[in-house]
Amino acid sequence: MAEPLLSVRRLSIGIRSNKKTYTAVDKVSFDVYPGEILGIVGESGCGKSITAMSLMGLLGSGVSVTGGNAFFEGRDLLSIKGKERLHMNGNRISMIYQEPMTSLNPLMKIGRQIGEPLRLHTDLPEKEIRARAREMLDRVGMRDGDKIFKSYPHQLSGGMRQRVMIAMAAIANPALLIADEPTTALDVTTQAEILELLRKMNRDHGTSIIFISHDLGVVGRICSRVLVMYAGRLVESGPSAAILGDPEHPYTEGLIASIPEVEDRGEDLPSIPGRVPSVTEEHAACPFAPRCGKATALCSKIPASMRNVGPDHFVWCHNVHGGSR
Amino acid sequence: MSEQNSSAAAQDDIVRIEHVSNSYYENQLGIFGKRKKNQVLRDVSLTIHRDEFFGLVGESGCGKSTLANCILGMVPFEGTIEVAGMSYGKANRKEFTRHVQAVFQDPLSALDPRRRIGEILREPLDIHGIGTKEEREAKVKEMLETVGLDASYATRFPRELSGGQRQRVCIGASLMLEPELVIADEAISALDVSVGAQILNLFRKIHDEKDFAMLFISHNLNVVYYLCDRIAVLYYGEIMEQGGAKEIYDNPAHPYTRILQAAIPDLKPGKEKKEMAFVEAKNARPWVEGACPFYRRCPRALDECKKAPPLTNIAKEGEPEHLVRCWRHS
Repeated sequence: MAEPLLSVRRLSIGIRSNKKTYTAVDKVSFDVYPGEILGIVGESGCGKSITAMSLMGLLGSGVSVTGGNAFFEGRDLLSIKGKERLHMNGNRISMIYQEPMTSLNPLMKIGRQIGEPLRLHTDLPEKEIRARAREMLDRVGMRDGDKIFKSYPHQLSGGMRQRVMIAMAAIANPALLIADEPTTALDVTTQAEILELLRKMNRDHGTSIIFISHDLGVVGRICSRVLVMYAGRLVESGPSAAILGDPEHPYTEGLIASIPEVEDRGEDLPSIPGRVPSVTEEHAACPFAPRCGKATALCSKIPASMRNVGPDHFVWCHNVHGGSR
Repeated sequence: MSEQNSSAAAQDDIVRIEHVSNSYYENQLGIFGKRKKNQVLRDVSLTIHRDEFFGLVGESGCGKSTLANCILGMVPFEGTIEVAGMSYGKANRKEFTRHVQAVFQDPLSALDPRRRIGEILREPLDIHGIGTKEEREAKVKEMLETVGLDASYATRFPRELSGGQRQRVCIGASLMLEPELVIADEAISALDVSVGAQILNLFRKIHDEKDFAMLFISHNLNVVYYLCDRIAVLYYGEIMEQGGAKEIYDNPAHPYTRILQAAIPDLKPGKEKKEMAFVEAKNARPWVEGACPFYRRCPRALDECKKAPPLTNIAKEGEPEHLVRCWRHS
């Protein structure tokens, strides 16, 4: 396989609250290869968003990286600061967020806003920047580009705002795009359009994408590889067809089974008992053990090591048998 | 004979919604700005039978929550809405609420943060003066058990509970008065997948034990297909398609329903979905006054679609009603 574009090793993130540090992300390692769309799925509080934020250097106060590295183009994303960070964000790595309204400047016209990354990162003349911004509007499939170029964010619909966000994130041709729940706030038909747009960006420009979502269906549609996280840990990773079609970890199995489908009509859904633990709770060695039907005494004592159960398919569970690595 | 049938059908209807329209005015900018009328619901008629799960689907802004608010008497509307033979009015508000209750999307904002769970569940009984103090306490305990919480939760505050547990409390509170209709407006949308499945199971379990009809509003077609007996698809304030859930899933007749169905991310690989067709078709046509509401986005529009189509029953003789608002089916 090719050299990874981004290589995250043993990333740990702590949240400080009431003079104690709680572990929100626990020694997570993964790679993103050039030109791939990698999905990260999990329920609320599993650490998927905070992982993305740490790569962008956007962790809030009280939240800090407590260990690990993330190598990207020869630099460690977790330790760069100041000018180096500015050079990175919006230029080599961009991010799009769930709520496009709160991430756009309400007082700046769309055209000017889309050009911002180029204004910051290049010496291009203003005329050229405006021309490129206008071109981006066509590329993200906006009709009426000339009118939208001169509009303010509040004049656009949710789907259009998300397109503007994507245009802004993509204008400097970043190598890596992080999309944090980009379609969660949108209607299903708009969601399908945005997914198609991201897929097109990936195909035409070879942009690698980290796609974060709680919706396994969406992830299965767009991602080639998926990481499943639970309570700050990786529980399973592999090709999306393998994860969705033949999940190995009891959590992934339960998560897929709890999605209602018309075939399940008239029957109870096989839901996972209990609830997602909050960050401030003490975890057993395997955080899923209290909700797991297959848990044994071993599960609460020793963290499971990574097992290889198929081509590029890894599971962290004592009850799954496969070659350890 | 036919008369008898229709009166029997009327008794089975718990909710009758007839020709309901709703609009609001928006002030344009400036002191000379005109007031703009926005039509939300356009002549919606439907009935919900006793003891059934009725699903209402549609995208944001289609008017599904507005319809729920009309039923609850929270917004003004034109037309008639009858629940258990009663219309909402100022005079009979209290009586009316015994028949209709609601569960909303965000359980935390729906619960009083300064009251204990036990008090929240007891409040409807206190207000309506049902039972003695001991009986009320017993009913609260019973309801906690029904929604899957143990008795110790009665003394806790909403903030001490998780999202799924709070939603269980909301469901319990809505059932305290034994209403004939429960309106669930996006009741599982804010919950995690694994917790949402538990709530869906809870709805099914309670429904087996108690008699009530449910109007289940959601943007998630999968959930509605799973849970509901009949569904209505709303677009731009009008019903586009209505019928049995299984029937609509197997044979969606309206182009909009088909698009919605194609847009649902599906877990099963191998099911080919055509996304691009409607991505290209979106707003492809200019707006024509009086056209079918879906005319602009419809990939299969005809010339006659410039006139509004009627709601037509396309079911075969003797089969349950399947209504479609599309010229291709009339």
